[in-house]
Amino acid sequence: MTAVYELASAAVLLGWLISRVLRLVMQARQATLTGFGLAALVVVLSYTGFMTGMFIGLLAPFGVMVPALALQNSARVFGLNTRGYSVMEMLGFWVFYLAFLTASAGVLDWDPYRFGYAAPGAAIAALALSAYAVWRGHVVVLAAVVLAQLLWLADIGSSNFYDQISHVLLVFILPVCALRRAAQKTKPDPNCEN
Amino acid sequence: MKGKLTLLALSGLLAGLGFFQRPPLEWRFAVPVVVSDAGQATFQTVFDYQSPTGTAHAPAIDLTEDGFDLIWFDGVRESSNDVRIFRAQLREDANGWQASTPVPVLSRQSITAAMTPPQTVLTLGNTVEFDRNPGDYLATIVSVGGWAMSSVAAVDMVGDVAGQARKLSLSPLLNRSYLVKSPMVAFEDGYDGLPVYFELGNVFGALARLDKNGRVRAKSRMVGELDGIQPALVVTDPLNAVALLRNFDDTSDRLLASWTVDGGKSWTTPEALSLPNPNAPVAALRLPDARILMVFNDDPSRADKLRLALSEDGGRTWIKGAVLEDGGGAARYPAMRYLPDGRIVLTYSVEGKTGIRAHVFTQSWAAGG
Repeated sequence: MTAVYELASAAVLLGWLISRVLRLVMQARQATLTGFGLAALVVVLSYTGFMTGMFIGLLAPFGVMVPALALQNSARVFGLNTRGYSVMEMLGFWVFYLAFLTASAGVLDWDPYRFGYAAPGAAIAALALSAYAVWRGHVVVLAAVVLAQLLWLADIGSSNFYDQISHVLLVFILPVCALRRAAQKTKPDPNCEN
Repeated sequence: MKGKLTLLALSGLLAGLGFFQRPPLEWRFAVPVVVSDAGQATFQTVFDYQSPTGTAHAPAIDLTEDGFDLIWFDGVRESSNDVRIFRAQLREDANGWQASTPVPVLSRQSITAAMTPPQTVLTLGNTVEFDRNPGDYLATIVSVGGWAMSSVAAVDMVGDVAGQARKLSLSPLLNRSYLVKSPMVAFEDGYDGLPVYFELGNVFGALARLDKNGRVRAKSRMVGELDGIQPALVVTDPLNAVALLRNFDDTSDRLLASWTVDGGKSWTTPEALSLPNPNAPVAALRLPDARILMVFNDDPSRADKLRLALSEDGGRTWIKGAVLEDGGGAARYPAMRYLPDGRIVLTYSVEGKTGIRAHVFTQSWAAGG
């Protein structure tokens, strides 16, 4: 099941990445359909091939959150609007996540990542994020947390719950989206709406 | 709002379920039962190998029912994509120890084909036995970049072929930058400990607790000002152990050590011992009389002097013993394990990572060395 899940996540992420590039030269809907179509073809036709292998080798485990946000972002072009994230939210999570990564990488003696292997650390993170998502109306985040809990308990994907709800790509995605959102005060940039 | 509250309730339910399915582990070592061999002092070189391609390094000992296997990485050079894991089987008969012709058992292609989820492996390195699953391995693999971007994979063997392999979840940095070197240590609850180390910018040793499927269930670290990697663990009782660490720090040339008093859940800040260390790992075992036997490089600047040392105080002070190698080129990466009858197997790479040597000796030889 881990293989199926990670391959599906790879297809989603690859589709989103391709569509974002294609949107530079195509209309949003067309680019999204083409991007996800191409990604699905690549993953299905060559799921043991070099390209898929390198993509998964480079970026797995994908977890739940980043694929969910990619789908949320892509769904927007089809009119499926959900509540967007504010600049402060994105920058706040970015700072929090950077601190988490650097501490986990040994900058601090305290290792937050170790708490993601067992129930107490997973429960605290899941409930805190769920409560925040309810408060702020982020239904995609809320659904992603529940799915992450299900996958973690079923032993699908990473055995550390924190991998299910985060991904290193967020280090790059969050500040870019926050800056673009901040630069579009009067008219929100649909590319970073979610 | 109702739908969101339903999801929130479901999240709470799943969080509660986690306490039954993923409870925190007990941290109590299973102290190895060591047979005192009580025999005369004997020492025998049982394996001496030169790589036909160039590099042979990082040997490990895989105990079997009828002897032991040596496994090491072999190729044109370290981290090149032709590197394979070789194995030689050593069995004892009436004529003494007999070694089989070394054969490759793992390659980047075979691990790539076995990876779940499917992914490309570019090269491989240090590999040790997965003690809980005899015949299976825990291998250092690289999908992109160098050793600092490596991961540890649990490799299930089907006969002599890699059946399935998966990366251990050790790091939030895409599982990156963890490597293995030393053998596992047993825990009372069956979630055994794998000594690992982190090498991306900051470096430190760590202990990962694995279930029988190679899923990481807990982890602790040996972090401090000094850069200690490649921990070699010696368990002295269910709660106490010492980790002897290679010094990766340019500002110090001493061997490092870290201790635990809570079964490996936490470790003291690594501190320098009086013994030298030329940035090289060590191997160690606990003798039946509670002393610790270690193999180390006894020179701060060169790695061609390998010798034994004994400690009577849990690894804090050491008395130097027999010299095993001196002046014949770098002799590094020792690995040491007990045979069932209490004799000790020691292996290491020789002549600057170009060959593998192994000895079998008695405890009395080591103690009186």
